[in-house]
Amino acid sequence: MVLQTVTGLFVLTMLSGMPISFAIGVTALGGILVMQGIPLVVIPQKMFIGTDAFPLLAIPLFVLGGDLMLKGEITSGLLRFADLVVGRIRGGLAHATIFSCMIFAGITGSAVADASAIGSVMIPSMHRAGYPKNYAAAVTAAASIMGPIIPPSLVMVFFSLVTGASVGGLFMGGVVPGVLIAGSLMTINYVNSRRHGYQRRENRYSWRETITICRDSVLVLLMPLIIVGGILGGIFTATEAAGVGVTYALLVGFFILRTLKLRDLPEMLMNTAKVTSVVLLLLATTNVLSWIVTMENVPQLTLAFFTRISKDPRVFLLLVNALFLFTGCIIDTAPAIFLLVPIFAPVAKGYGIDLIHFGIIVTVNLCIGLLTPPVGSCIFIGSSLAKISIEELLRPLWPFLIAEVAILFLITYYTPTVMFLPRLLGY
Amino acid sequence: MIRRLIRYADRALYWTIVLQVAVMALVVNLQVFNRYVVNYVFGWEEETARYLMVWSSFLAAAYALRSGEQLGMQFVVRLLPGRVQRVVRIACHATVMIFLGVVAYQGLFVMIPQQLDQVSPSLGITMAIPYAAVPISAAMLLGVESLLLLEAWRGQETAMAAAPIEI
Repeated sequence: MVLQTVTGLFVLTMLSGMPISFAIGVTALGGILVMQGIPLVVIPQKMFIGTDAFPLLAIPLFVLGGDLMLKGEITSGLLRFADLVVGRIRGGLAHATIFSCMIFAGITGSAVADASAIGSVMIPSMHRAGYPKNYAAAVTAAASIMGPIIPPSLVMVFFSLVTGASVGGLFMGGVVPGVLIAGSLMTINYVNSRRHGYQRRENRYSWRETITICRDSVLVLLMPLIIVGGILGGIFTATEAAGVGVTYALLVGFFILRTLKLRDLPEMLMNTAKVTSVVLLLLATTNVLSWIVTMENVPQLTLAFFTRISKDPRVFLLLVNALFLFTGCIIDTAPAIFLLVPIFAPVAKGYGIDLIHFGIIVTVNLCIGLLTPPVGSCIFIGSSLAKISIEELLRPLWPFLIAEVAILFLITYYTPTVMFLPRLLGY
Repeated sequence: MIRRLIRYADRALYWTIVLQVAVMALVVNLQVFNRYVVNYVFGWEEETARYLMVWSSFLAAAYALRSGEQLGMQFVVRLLPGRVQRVVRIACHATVMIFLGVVAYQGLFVMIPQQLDQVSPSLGITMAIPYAAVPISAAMLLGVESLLLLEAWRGQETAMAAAPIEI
């Protein structure tokens, strides 16, 4: 009875267009009313407890750090460095976009930050260099999903918060899949560039120019080393790394490049609070619903349901991938993690799947969802930066999307791609 | 007069949030500094940062709701005819208001009195202070929702953010 009410209310409120966190809150309220004998005060209590966690501080800190780097134009050095490394390959500027997204993913934990930081500069310059607008936007969107796959990653922080899996282990697990995605995108771009005649960079850089570019990019290239290195070396936690990143961006922006202005700061801080509030409110209400779902033994019921279909973990992973890909199309990454992972992580454990492996599969899967309509943040950003419609952007996006789904299945079924690095480092 | 009061309150809230986020970022860095330079983590750093995050986010939730950043799945509702859409929107806002009302009432009159005697482990403040963020935010969201309900009643569609905010 409780489960039927909860499911019914959930579907109804979600379809009605209610903000997701409220839809989940209303569903939880309905569930508690049906359960009877539960005091309503558990709702605000669980809402507070769900948000009062140190790892969550990574959200505002990574958002603020990304904003500071964008406004402080710290990324421009990175873009020229990328052009230096891969610009001479055919389709060079698009390769440079993919390469920059990969490096920037080592600074930010979010795909949206990756898309806006790289895309705001690279989409116009690709367009000037003769690439069609929709191709430029599609390349950027497809590459930006490396943001949460290559460490640091907010999606993995959420996953670790919900399941207790080690953040360091998850971060390490994301490295190889991220690089594989970069490689596959660059391959497709190379083939496309041959077919459509996109050019490479004609001039060679002299030694002097090479040195200047390297020197200018040192400031930004140091960041992934500090952040990822610091976390993996056990010097600081993911949250502290995000905090150190903020300080670094502030110092570089104010004192070295002098691109940041004091009067821009309040608006950035306010924006940080707003972005965080969306996730925190969601976590707050989801925590109430998750409590009901656990009280009603949903994880056990789900495990029983899947083992009746097949005892083979490979079949389970296939079904889970299909379900998560579908979910990723209609809801955003954070709600998908908070809603589905508490139910499916125990099931995956029941099948003997390592939580780190499962976490990476879920992360890559849901990030692909950022590229699919009707709800896909990265294609929204790409289309608004290039000032084209979503439909126009989707046409050149397909090959990239298919390649990313292929990588998803590769990392799902060939475990060493994910687990080699975490195992090497003893996770 | 009232309009001016609202503007002052709005400004005060804005700067409260800005200050909270700034101090929060500072405290996290201080924690790293204390661990490696002072060689001693006091323990209040983590708690302070956490409570500041909770408070700033719950306060900012009302701003985010007002500027249309709290997104739902709009694409199904959009398929409905205009008049039905309006009814659905009104029903949604009313339902959300009931939920927020429960959170605000239960939070302020049941949860806060319960938490008054609880003391936070390292700061030693009453747990009612951090907990209060939830019902106070719910009350503010209730205010915004009633405005949105009024707009939906008059048939104005709420302004939507150009791009959804997401991680």
